[in-house]
Amino acid sequence: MDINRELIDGCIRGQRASQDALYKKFSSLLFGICLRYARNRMEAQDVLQEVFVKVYNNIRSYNNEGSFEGWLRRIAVNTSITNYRKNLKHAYQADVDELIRTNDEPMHFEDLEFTAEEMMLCIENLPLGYKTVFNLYVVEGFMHKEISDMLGIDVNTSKSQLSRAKTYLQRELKNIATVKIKEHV
Amino acid sequence: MSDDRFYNEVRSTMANFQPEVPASAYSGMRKKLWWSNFTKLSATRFNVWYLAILATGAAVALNLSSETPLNEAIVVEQSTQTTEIAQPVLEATNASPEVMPSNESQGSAKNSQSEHNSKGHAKQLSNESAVTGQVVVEETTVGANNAQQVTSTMEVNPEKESQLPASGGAKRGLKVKTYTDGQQKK
Repeated sequence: MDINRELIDGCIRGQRASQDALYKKFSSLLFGICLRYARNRMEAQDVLQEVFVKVYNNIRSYNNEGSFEGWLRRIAVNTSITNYRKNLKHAYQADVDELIRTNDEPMHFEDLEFTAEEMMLCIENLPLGYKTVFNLYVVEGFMHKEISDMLGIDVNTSKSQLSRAKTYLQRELKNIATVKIKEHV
Repeated sequence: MSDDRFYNEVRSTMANFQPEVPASAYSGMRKKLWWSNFTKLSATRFNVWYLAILATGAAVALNLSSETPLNEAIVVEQSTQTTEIAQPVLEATNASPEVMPSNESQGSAKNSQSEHNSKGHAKQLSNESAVTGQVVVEETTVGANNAQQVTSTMEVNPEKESQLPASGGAKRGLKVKTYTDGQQKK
């Protein structure tokens, strides 16, 4: 906590060393968040840059209430949602395409363990709309009403997109598990 | 519920997901940060607002330095125009002072008064010119010429100027002939 305080004070004074240290410490964590919402790594990289610019420019507004990491996470999520809104047209096209693919029966998700990379691979392949709703609901813990307000969609749309995202992810994870079991045997 | 189990598993797995950040992201971030600071209004560092002020100052200085020759050109053009219009009227009034009717004499008196006024105006401007310099001297000539033009157009209609002495003479019983160029040659 003290280290964070020193970094924050340094960033407020505009010290480059403190800015670099802050970047080094939190860039991986924030890049992970950006990757979950972005369409690809390049877009996630752009969003990450915007996140850090916002952090450096608004670090004075951080009051010590709550964790600094939580404050950074919130900025990353908000910037990602802003980026999502910019790409709404493309997201619609992807969703329509995906509807055809996710009409299969839902798979049952049993006691299977996956690494973060494997799970990330599946989430990355989700259509942008599903991915955003899934991340906001499952990982960030927002309610459907909040998600609908944030994304400008209906509550029922949010619910249906979450359901489809879950079905798609379970199917993809089961495929990975099948491959892993075959390799193990 | 199986849904909650699935969601909890995803949440716990993704919470600590920290992938490697590409090296190019840092340089890009630095560039964006520099641009953000450059476009932000700040008194402590050089930014786009200082640049805008410098550019505006330079443009104003350039405009002021190029203003003098432009004004001169306009003054010369205006003065030639006004003399062309004003000359025939002045000639007509000077040519036949005896034949002029009383109204005309009043008109000429007004003309002379207006000339006096214009001279006064010119004097006033010339006094100013002593302070401001050459540019104002040019303006005095324009002012005088404009005054002449205004008074002459007020008193005499240029289209009827040749008829004025004749009509005035006819009232007194004098015969006044007006000749065109072709008739004078004959």
